[in-house]
Amino acid sequence: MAQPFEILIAEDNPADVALVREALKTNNLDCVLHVLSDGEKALARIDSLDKDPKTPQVDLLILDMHLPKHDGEAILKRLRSTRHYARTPVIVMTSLASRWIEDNAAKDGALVYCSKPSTLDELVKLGAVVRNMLEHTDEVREIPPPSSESGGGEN
Amino acid sequence: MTAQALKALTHLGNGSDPASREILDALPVAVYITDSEGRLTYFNAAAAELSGRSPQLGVDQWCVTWKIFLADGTPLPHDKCPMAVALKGGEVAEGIECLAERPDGTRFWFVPYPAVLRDGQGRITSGINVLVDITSRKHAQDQAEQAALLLSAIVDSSDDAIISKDLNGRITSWNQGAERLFGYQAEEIVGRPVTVLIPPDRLDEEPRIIARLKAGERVDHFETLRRKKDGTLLDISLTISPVRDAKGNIVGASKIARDITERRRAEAEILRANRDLEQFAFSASHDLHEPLRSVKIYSELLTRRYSDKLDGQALEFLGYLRAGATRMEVLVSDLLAYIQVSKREEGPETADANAALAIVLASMAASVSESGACIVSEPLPTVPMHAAHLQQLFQNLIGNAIKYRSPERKPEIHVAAISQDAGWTFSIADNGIGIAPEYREKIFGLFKRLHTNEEYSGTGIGLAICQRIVDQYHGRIWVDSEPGRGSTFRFTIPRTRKSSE
Repeated sequence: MAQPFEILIAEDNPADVALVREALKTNNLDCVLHVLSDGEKALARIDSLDKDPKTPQVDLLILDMHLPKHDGEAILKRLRSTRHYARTPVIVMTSLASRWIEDNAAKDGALVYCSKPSTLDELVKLGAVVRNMLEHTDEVREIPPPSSESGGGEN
Repeated sequence: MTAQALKALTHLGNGSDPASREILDALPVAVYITDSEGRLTYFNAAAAELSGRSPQLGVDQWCVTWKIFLADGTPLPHDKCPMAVALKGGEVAEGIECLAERPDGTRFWFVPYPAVLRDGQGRITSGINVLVDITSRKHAQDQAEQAALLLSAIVDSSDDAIISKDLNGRITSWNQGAERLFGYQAEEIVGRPVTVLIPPDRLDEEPRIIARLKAGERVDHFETLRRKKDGTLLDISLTISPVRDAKGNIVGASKIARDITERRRAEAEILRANRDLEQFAFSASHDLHEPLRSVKIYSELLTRRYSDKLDGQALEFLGYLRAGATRMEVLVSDLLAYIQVSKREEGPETADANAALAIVLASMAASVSESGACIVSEPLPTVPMHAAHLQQLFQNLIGNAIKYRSPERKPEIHVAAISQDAGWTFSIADNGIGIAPEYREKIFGLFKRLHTNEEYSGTGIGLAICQRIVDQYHGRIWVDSEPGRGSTFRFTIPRTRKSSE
């Protein structure tokens, strides 16, 4: 595990970004957090990262479902359709689970759902989920992508 | 009075021979006889009775009656009366209706049948007139005419379209309501088949309606679509009844069509508004939870992380902050539950109350055992309502029974239901603190509380939810209580659910 980890977080609420920082800190994870405060910025960053020859630069995406301009669904689809980040681990962090999230979590081995913490226990749990995802990053990357990957993943 | 009978009467001659006189006297119809000049020579008792007078024989001329009028009310001089016309050799129209007035002012209708007798040379020698009283027939006719007028006025003033058709489906009458509703004038539509009003994809309705009518059945409040003259479609409610002739044969149908476009639109609007409200409440409760979550976790972080840097009062304040956020969270959830009562529940609309109670008691096991409550239930019925709603009622009422227990004794809660004609009455009786009479209705209102949060926590939504559920099934909920000794909450669930939609 090479530290520090590079984490993208698409989240418009600074209070929740700070919670993620707390979660990482309580789990002694050395990470660099790149905050994208709306859907447009998140899509742009994904596109520019994918064009960058130096890859991969991101170990994990933490995604809020309800973002201004483009929602988490659009961002996840874009990420999964990239050349270099189609298998990047994603934590969908939301306070409201939906059928769509459940369906995708069931299909997408590199996607987990984690509710936004409302207690300290949940905060610690979020940190543990992040740690778990990062620790398995290399394994996930080593799994060859399915042959139909060019079709856009989850469809 | 037939023409033959009249002829026979004229053969009685001038009534001078005693035999014919006897017959005339006994006749129950008014008869009088005049000479060729019209002077009365005879009248029978029936004539005197009908005319209300006894004319002077040999003096009074032409008429036995006192005053005479034409049907339209214009006075008719005696020498122009039908008898006078006949005696003067003129033709008298048969069956002419006349009105006469008696000396006492009362009036009567009659039809005169005057005839003349001639001698061998054809000269008129005398006349005989029979007056047939038609007053009662005339009155009945007037009444029928008035009733018909009234009926047609009622039919015409109706906002509903009232149409009649024969058994071939041809329109036979069309009121003003129908003109307004469908846009056709009576002149253009009477005689045409009623199918011109039916949209092509619903033409199969007509044979079915006709078949039911022929069987003597009514079609009640049949909601369907019909087409206006301009082609636009109307939501209408049809009530169609068979029309019978005097012999009881079905000869057609009367049809009342009510425009329910507006009602349909309003119903759709209410449905949409309710859905919007639910959606709004759902989103709002989610959106309200979000900032609360931040308040809760950050106050917790502050308390944990900085407890060594904060003094006792700061920590106390943080405690209030967290308590406030927690309470608000419960409020938001309860409010959402309150609004979602009206949401259409899925699944069967019948609930076994025993099963519902068991589920609720299992979910409350912790608070039941903690309070040491003893809960006894009688065998309960299966009722026509969603199980989730019945569970919510039990949950809130038993939860209250435990929450508002007396500090002096262990809670004892008794759940029962009795069956009555109209439905079931459930009761949840406790031995708790009770409720003062002045609050027994108020407590079912939204946010109505009798205690501070320090005494008993709560949001004041639980009983409002119960009220809302019971309302939805057209039942009732109320409480009987003896302060200090306990309360009994009762609610009714009607046997057959009235449609609330």
